[in-house]
Formats: sequence, C-alpha cells, structure tokens
Amino acid sequence: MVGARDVRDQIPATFDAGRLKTVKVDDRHLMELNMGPQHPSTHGVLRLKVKLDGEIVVDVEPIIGYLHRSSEKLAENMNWVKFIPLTDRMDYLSAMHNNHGYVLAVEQLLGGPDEQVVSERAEHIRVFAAEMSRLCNHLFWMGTFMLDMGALTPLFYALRERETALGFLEELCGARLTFNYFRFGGVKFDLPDDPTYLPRVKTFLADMPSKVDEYQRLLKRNDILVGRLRGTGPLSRDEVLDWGITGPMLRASGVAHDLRKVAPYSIYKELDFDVPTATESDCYGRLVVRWAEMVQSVRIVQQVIDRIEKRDLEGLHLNPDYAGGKILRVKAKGEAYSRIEHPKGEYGCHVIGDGKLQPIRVKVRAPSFANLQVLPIMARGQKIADLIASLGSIDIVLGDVDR
Amino acid sequence: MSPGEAAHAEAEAPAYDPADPSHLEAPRIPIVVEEQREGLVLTVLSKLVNWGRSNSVWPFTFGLACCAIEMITSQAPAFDISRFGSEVFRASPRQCDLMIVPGTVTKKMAPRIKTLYDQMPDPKYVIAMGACATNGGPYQDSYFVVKGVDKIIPVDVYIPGCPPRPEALLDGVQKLQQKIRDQNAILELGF
Amino acid sequence: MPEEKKPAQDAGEAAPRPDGDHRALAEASPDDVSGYAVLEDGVPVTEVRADGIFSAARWARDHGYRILSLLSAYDDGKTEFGVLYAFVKPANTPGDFAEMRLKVRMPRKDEAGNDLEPECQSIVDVFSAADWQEREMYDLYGIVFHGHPALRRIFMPEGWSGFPHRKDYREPEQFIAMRDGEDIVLKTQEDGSW
Repeated sequence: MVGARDVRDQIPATFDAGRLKTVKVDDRHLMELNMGPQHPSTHGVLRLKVKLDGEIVVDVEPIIGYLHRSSEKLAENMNWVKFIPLTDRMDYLSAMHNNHGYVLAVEQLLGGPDEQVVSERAEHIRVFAAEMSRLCNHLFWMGTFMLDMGALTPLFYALRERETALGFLEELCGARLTFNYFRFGGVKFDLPDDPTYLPRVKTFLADMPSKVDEYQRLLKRNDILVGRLRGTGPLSRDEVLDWGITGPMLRASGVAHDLRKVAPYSIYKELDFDVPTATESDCYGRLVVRWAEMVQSVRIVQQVIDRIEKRDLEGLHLNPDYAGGKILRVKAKGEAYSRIEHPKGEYGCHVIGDGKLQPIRVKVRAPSFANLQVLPIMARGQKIADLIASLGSIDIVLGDVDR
Repeated sequence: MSPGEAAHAEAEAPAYDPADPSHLEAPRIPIVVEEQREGLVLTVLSKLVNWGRSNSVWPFTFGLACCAIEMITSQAPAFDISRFGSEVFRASPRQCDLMIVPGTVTKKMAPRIKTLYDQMPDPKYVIAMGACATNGGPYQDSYFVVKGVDKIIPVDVYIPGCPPRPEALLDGVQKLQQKIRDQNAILELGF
Repeated sequence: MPEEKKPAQDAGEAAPRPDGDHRALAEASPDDVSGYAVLEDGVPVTEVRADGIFSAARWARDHGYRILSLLSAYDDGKTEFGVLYAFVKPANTPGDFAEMRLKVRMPRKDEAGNDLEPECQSIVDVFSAADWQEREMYDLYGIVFHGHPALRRIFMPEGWSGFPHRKDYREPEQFIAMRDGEDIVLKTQEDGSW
C-alpha cells in the first residue's frame, strides 16, 4: 500500500529547469507558455502556445482538435433527420440556431427556393425559439467573459436569468441544452397548451431590459473592467473583413451586417428590430454590442408573441404533408448552402445529397472556427492578461470550432 | 452467438408468475460489507475521516463539451452544488479530489486526461458525466472519440444523460459521497 | 435569400446562362472559368479550374465580395473531389448584400485512369480567412493547397496518417497516444462487443 513515506522518495531533488521552454529570437529570449487544453479560462479544450517576451505576447498559436468528434463524417451514415441532434451538440450554448441552419439547408433540397414549405405558425415558433436561444447564449457568454475578467457576480446574475429562459424552452421542447427541436417543415412540438405559458414569458421579457440595465450598471462604472477592455484586442475594419469575421465582432467595427436584416430568412423581414453596432472593434465594443443584442432579442420575441396571440396564424407547427409525410425517410438530392445569423456569427450548412437516405456531405460553416483564427492578430503586442480578454470577447465554443 | 449473448444465456432469470405478488417488491441488491478489523476506535476514526472527506469533495474544473455547461450550471444559484460541500472548483489538479469528466473524450485529449488524473493526489475519485464519457455516447461510430473515459482512467460513478440535468449531477455526487462514506479510510492511509 | 435567384434547372431546358457578376468574371478571365450551374437553393455558382481559383478569388474580392463565407470541400465518393467557395459583400442595408459562389472540381482519376491526388491553389493571400479553412480541408480530405504558408493538420494530431473524411478512409487498428514515458494504446472496437 503506497503510504506518505514512499511518495516523498519519488520527488526529484532538483527542479528540472530545462523544462521551461525558451526560444531565442533576435537576441531576445522568449518564453513559450502552454495554456490548455485544460485551463479555467479557455472556453473548452483549447490549447494556446504563447510566446512571451516578459509580459508581452509576441505570438500565440491556437491548437484545436481536442474536441473533434467528426460529426460531419457521422452524418454520412445517418438519415437526414438523425443529424439534427448532432447539430445541437456543436454550439451547445445556442442549439436552436444550429438546428435552424441545417434544417433550412435541407429544406432547400427538399422544396426548392420558391416553395412555401414551412407554415406561418411554424415560422413564428421557430423565431421565438431561436431568439430565446440567442438570449441564453449572450447571457452565458457575458457571465463567463466576466468570470475570465475576475468578476464572479455577473455569472450568477446571468445564470439566474438564463435558468428562467431555459425553463421556458424546456416547457416548449423538453430539453434544457440540446433541444433537437427543428424538423424539416416546421418544429417538433407546438407551443404548450398551458394558457399561462405565453403570459409568463411576456412577464419575463418585460423584466429583461431592466436586468440588462442592471448588468450595465454593475460593470460600466467599474474602472478596472473598462480599463481592461477598452483598446484590448483591437481590430480594424479591414482586418475584420479580411479575416472573414462575422457576427457581433463584425458589427462592433461599424458594419451593420446582420443576416437577419440584409439576407432575411424566416419571418425576420416582417419584424421590427435594430442592428446594434459600435465604432471600434475592441473587447469593450463587442461587449456593448452583445448587451444591445440581448435587448433586441427581447424585442423580437415580444413581437412574435404578440403576433401569435393576436393574429390567426395559419398552418400547423409541422407540415404533415411535407416530403410525402415521411420525414424520417426523406431522400434529398442536390447541393445547397443556407446561412443564418447565429449569435456567434454566420452559421450555415453546406449539404450535398444524391437522392439517398444519407447525405453525401454535410459541412457546417462554424462561426467560432472562423472567428478564432484572428486571435493572434488581436493579441500580438498586448499583455498576457489582455490575451484572455481577447479570447473571451471572440465568444467561441469548442464544440463549434472542432465539430 | 456472441460471447456477450452466451454469458447472458447462462444466467437464466426465474420464470415470471403474475399471480405471485413477490415480484412487486423492490429487487434486493446485495451490499458487500467489509469486515471492520481494527476495532472500535479506528472504526470511529475511519467514519470521522470519511465524513470529512465526503462532505468536502472539491471538483476539478475540467470542462470538455456540452455537459460542462450543465456542470457550470450546477454551481449556479438554482442548483448550487456547494451545499453538498463542493464549494470550491479548483483549476489545478493538485488541489482537487474529484475529477468530473463532462463531455466527449477524443483521442487527442486522452493523454492529457491521463496526465491530469495522475497529477491528482490520493484519494481521488472520478465521475463520468454524460453519455460520451460513459461509453462514447452519440459519437460511438466516430474515428476520433474514445468510447468512454473508463478506457483510460478508473471511474467511480457514471451519470447517464445527454446532457444530464444538474440535478442528475447532484445525484451522482451524492452517490459518490455514499461511496466515500463506505470506504475504509484507515486502511487506505497505509497504517 | 439573395435577391437574384434563378429557378433550378429542369431536364430538357437550356443550360442556365451566367449573368451579373458571374458573366463579368467569365468575360474577365475566360481561361479560368470552366462552367456555370445553379444550385438547388437558387444561387448560381461558377466552376473554376483548380489553377485559376486564385485569380478568380482576387477578382471577387476586388469587386466587393470581401468576406469569405464558406470554403467547403467534399468527396462525392465516385468521381471527384470539390471545393465550394462562397464570398459575400458586407452590407449595411438589404440592397447591398450579394453572394458569389465558385466551385473547383478535382477529378479522382485522370484520362488514363491513374489516381490523382486533389490539388488546388490557395487563396490565403487574397482572403486571410482561408488560412484555417484550407488547413481543415487538407487535414480531412488531403487536398493540397499550393501557396499556403503552413499547410499542416489542424484537428488530427501530427502523426495521424490518412485523411479521415474521404469515403475510402479506414480507421487504423490502434492509435498510440504518446506521452512521456508511457504510451496509451487505444484500440478500435472489434465487432461491437463491449
């Protein structure tokens, strides 16, 4: 039996300083620091190889692949519908959007661009679910971003609101995190029969802007936080466009490129909402943009609930005749790519089928993967603590990066 | 017949008789009770040590995938794992007793998990949270997923679910606490 | 959905003719363009040769399509590999949004019947966003992007052999995860038994 005495014998007498890696570049000795794949402030299993000159970051190389589960390869053995739960698990913080992107792409194959395959009622429920999911995503992001900055309180506040929103989504579709809710031709379940459901959601949404105000009051006047975030991880507009960044990071640099407005899908054309932008894409700008997007999501859901209650929306939540009524055994043929405005950026699914039960190819355009590339550009020349802030402000989820 | 089927075929269940009410009783699960060899003082000491250990299990912040979100949510006010003693989630494995493995274990991550497990001091426990850590979950056919974390490290408690609710994680932690209480702490210290 | 749409091609109708920016591209560099089609979602795609994709991408960027939206490779299992590119104009209003798609097709076998490895030009010098996307396609499909500054694996560990997303990929018997002083051997599951 190993006792305390035996363990002491195994500790080496001298610390092996050679294990501290240094790299000699131009007469400077740079320290190579390895962060991850397990680290409290990475958003999953991300590894960063950081070359440091003292406290200044000279280069950072993100190494990914620790969560590569090959969902895209698994899709080639699954029926078209069976892949929907796997999309949930990619960006698991806002799973409704993952479903939405995939379902839209396959509906192009099954129906073609001009057919109205999804009923009005189903579209409204889709937008309801999607925007609630966006709210959950931004809340969780804000909480963990502040946790990375060292503030513990906003996490608990954000999770408190998120629990209520997830409770509503759980009543809607039965799951808290991986919803598996969208189907080709609509959604799996209709709104709950409970007559108090929509009024309860409305009460929650009515309080939500004041909660966002509460977060801003907590955080905006905190000099340390603002000092840490302003000017950190800056990206010029040209860099943002060149690196294919989409989502709140792009809008923070002043381009109001929101696919819900410029390339509308579902019923977003009929809804009234603003696209928040900031003037400079630094960590603070991205934070402000996401705060404002939370408020806009609330506005959208309020309009959708209004329409559901007041108008007589035609159609069922799931089109029963769609694809011959046999959703589980659809055979889709052709190639399509559809893009949606995911909370993290542009998300889309490139699907190729040749008329069989299984797809030939499902490629997911993951916003976190595309946005993470720009981390070295943001972090060079800044201090290592700013690297953490920059990483947090990108809003990545490793399930999306690695798929 | 595969070896698995043959093993099951050997242990025949008794024939089911609907008129016999005894089938409605809960099945009796045999509990192995170790003989307490040390006597009264060391038994009480063992119980004291186990009480301390089980009520202050410090987990390791080790989030792999979606189940990590439910693990973080279990620290949130709605579910509050700290009322069960897990107040502190430490980032360094050298300061933890419990490694919850929430999420899929990939072949690239597997050696790192083994390193982290080896860095934890004894006594250490592992909870496999979620279907992926239990047996590969929805990714069983994947070329890059290790079908269950118990292929690399020994696991004490398995929590099924995809993802399991925070209450399920709390139930798993409670089962682990029961397991700790049933341990013989004095023998483990090597005296 | 983008404003300009074409109906999907039916059998018997004439092949769709490129118009708008696709026609301008075909006229500007006719050597690179090798075809035109309309996908099932109504968006046209210009097929480009593998050695012409760099100048076609540069043409797209110079005409306002500044965001690399998609770089997706596929293996259709039978005849070819392909890469679909989608470039998008950053838009402040709905009228500004436009999308341009290009596709490169790389046959699996040449005319003589010999196996070909898929190769393509890299567009990293035009769109920096293509850096990781091309590395991912190299890692998963083995498509070599000539001109990429550091084309190496991104998901798989360095010593991995084979390109997993290809249709003819076979999982290796065992994967030895190297660690200091101790190897962890992970065997592929045999016939489904636990």
